[in-house]
Amino acid sequence: MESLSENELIFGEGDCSPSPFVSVMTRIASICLWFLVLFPFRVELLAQGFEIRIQPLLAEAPLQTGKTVFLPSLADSVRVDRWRCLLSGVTFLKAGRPMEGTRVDHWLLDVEDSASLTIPYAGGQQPDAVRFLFGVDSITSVSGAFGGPLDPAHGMYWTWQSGYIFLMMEGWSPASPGRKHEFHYHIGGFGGPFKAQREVTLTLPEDGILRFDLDHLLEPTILQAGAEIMSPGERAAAMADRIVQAWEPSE
Amino acid sequence: MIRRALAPLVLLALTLHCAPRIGRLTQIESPPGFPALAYDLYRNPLTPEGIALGRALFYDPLLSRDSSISCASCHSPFNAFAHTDHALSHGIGDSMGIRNAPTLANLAWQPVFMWDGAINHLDMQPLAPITHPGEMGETVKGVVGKLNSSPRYRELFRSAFGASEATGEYMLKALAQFQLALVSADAKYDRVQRGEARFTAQEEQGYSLFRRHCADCHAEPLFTDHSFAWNGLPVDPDLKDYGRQRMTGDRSDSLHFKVPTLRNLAFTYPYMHDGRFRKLGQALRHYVGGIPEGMAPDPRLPGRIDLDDRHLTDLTAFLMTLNDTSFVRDPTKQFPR
Repeated sequence: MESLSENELIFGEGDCSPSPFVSVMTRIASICLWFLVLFPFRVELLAQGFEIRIQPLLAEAPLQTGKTVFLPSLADSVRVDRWRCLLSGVTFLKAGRPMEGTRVDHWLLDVEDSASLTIPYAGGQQPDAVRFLFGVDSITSVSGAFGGPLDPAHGMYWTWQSGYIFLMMEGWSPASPGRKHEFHYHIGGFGGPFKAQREVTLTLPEDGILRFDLDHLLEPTILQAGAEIMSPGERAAAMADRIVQAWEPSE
Repeated sequence: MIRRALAPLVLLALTLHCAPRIGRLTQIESPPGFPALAYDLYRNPLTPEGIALGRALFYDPLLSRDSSISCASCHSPFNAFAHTDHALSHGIGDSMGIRNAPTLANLAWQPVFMWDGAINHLDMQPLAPITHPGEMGETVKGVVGKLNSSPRYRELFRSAFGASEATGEYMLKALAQFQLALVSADAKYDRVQRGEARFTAQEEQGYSLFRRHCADCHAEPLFTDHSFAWNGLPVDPDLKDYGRQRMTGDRSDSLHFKVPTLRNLAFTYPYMHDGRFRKLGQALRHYVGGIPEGMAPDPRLPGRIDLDDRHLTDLTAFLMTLNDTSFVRDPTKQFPR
């Protein structure tokens, strides 16, 4: 008796291998079938893999806290130690219309926490624009304690007066007239003539990276006017206008 | 048949076991005549567990940097949650503040907080004393960290909010719940309003004087309308505290302070935002010819209130009917044992 082939031993098959032509066609057909089945999921995966990242920039390079750089617009060195920003009502748009189920009520960006620089996106398609309120809306500002990004433990709430700090930027520069050449800019204000909330709408680039140019906030005229903005008012409101300009899609 | 019934029963049992515990809600009994609540309970419903946690936090000096000062250090229960015998309160390291700690009674009906109205919601008020370097000198993150390293607190937060850990939000909401439960509405005045007692003739006289001369700002039944006013007190030359102007930047708010309640005056001396009057008589005499010439205080204050000593005695007798002994002696609001 002829010994069993490996095929027979393991698969219990006789010697019934198909002709090369059939096997190749079968292989092609199975690949096509898998592709057809998985195609919709692949698109989903691609879109769900779409991330919206915020990249704060200083002197045209990604911001690194604690690192001193030369800022041409300031004609001097600067070091940023802290950059945090509160956004509300982050809405993703496609063809000008909000995409359902993608709204993020509040989000805290903190350059010292890299995970926070990615805004969660739960949509099925790629958005083409994003809209948000810089800061915290007035109703939330008078409604007491909230958790998550709005938890006062994050240090983005004034303690001696009610109101969220929308943007916190602190650092050092020889150009700063402040004590020890430091500067502290806590921008906020939810009511009255010096509201600091601003609506921002940005087209989303392909790579989903929105850049925030800190250079806009560190010009000589700003620092010379004072190293501290620690309460709502005219200077904070003027800074809020600059903050709108600082947002840009990447090129 | 039993077997058929068993499956849904088991399912029901499992559901009930796993479903979030529906805590008992505590109601704030709005005393008759009190206005609508200023606090939005929907966002922070009162529960016995929430109040218990707030009470634990309120009396815990852990909230201060060197564990020496608790909320109760300046808001003592025996003094209607004010700071008796201290014109200005002191914090850690004996640092002196610039204002007198007010009573914490009936905050559920109060829309703004602090003498200058800087805080717009009860939840957020503790942030000020907790972080002020001259009061408790801590950070919110620091306090939350300390709370989370205490198994006892973690259990209290779990039972109050179903939370796996303490957060700034829950700490503030618990403190708010405890303070909301501090209701003072059982003074003799209240019992008279409910028809359970009667004023003496002297108190009745005082009451009618009160209604004529004081009630515009110190409106019943809270004995404040929560407005900001300058009552003619000249600025303290050392403290230089200009009140609400600091908050609004508006010069017309200079020397404006929040109208305080007149409840529990026997327990909350000294009086005014900087405690400059140790005795009630001094405060009353300020209004009766004590306002310096040329000052133009709140328009609700007439140039001179015409009251003689007899009238002042009657008025004082009425004001004493606003003292609520049951409030200051309530053991459920005192130091937790």
